Amino acid sequence: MPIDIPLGGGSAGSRAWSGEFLIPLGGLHSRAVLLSPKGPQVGIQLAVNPLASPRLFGMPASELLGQVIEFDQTPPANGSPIA
Amino acid sequence: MLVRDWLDRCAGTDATDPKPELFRAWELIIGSRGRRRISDVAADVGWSRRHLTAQLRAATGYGAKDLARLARFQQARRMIVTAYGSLADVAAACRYADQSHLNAEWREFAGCTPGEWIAAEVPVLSQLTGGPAAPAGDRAERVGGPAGGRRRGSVFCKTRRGPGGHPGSMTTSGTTTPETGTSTTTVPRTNPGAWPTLSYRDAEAAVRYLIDVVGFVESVVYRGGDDRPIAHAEFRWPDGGGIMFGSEPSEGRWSGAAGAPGTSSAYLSTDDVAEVARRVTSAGWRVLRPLAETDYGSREFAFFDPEGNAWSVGTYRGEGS
Repeated sequence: MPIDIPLGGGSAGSRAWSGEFLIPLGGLHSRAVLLSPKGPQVGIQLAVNPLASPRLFGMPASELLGQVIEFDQTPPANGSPIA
Repeated sequence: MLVRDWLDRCAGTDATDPKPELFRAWELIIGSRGRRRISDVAADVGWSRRHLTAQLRAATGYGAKDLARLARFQQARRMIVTAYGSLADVAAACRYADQSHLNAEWREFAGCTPGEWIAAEVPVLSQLTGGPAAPAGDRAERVGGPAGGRRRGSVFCKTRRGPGGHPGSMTTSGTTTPETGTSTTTVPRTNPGAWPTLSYRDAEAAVRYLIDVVGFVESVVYRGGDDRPIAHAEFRWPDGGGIMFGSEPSEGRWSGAAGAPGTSSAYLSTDDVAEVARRVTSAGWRVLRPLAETDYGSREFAFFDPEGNAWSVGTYRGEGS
């Protein structure tokens, strides 16, 4: 959860993405994810046990494998996420 | 409050949690930092190895072997940022065949060798915390870190915070990288070299009251099996230092009262355990446990001083993140 400045674009292997994340949610990765911050960044990072993913994010962690998505885009299984 | 509301809502849904066997397997694989053999994990949860891997893959995306490799990689990274020792020491402690095995795993997971990673990341992290720059790049050298670096608030196990929390404990500096469950951006910090150690008959209760009553801050808690519910825990004291504790072992680790609940011992970290062992042995003191490698990758030795206080000495530096 970056504070003030959204998390900018990055790349994982040959795959790059642009755009910004307000609250990025990442699955397990076995490859480096490179980010290109424009300056110092401050935020809070939470490590979540992947087995809690169905309850917390409405989908198994396997669906997040190697991906980063915006937290708000998780299925609304739990009502609306933090808003 | 937002987070609490959200968690309350999550708790109330009828989402299907993974099977308990998977939580147990996760605890064994990650808790052992990938050192537990997959066949042992499978036997422990009562599944075939193939079934275990299929179930883990369905839930997390990775099978048992890959999770163990990631856990070992994470442990190596933690040891590097907490200045455990040379990369050869880290490779040995994490049970890699040798340093080139460690390098190969890093190339695959991180896209660079640990030496390259240290050269790129550690000076930046040191700068952010105002500490001295660590020696960069030289793989044979000890990896230094600034004293008093900030700690990060995330661990695999659930984290409870003491009243008020530790100032700075919620702050993460540097770039954020989504990856395998913990941050790549751990800021180097220095662990105490001497830790009071305690054991408890009801260590789960101790986890709560050491925080709520005494005011410790949880650093790590590793939960074990029924015979030892808290296998190992480290708590920080907000003003510096910390303690290690766990459930009383079912088979006495110590002889006599030393180390039993109601007593306290001390653990000393050093790279040179053999030298301490040599001094103690030549002084003619009673050896509790001879110098040996532990299953968590530390070389340890324990002894009684002349008045019967129990001490242990080892290369393990504490989890430190």
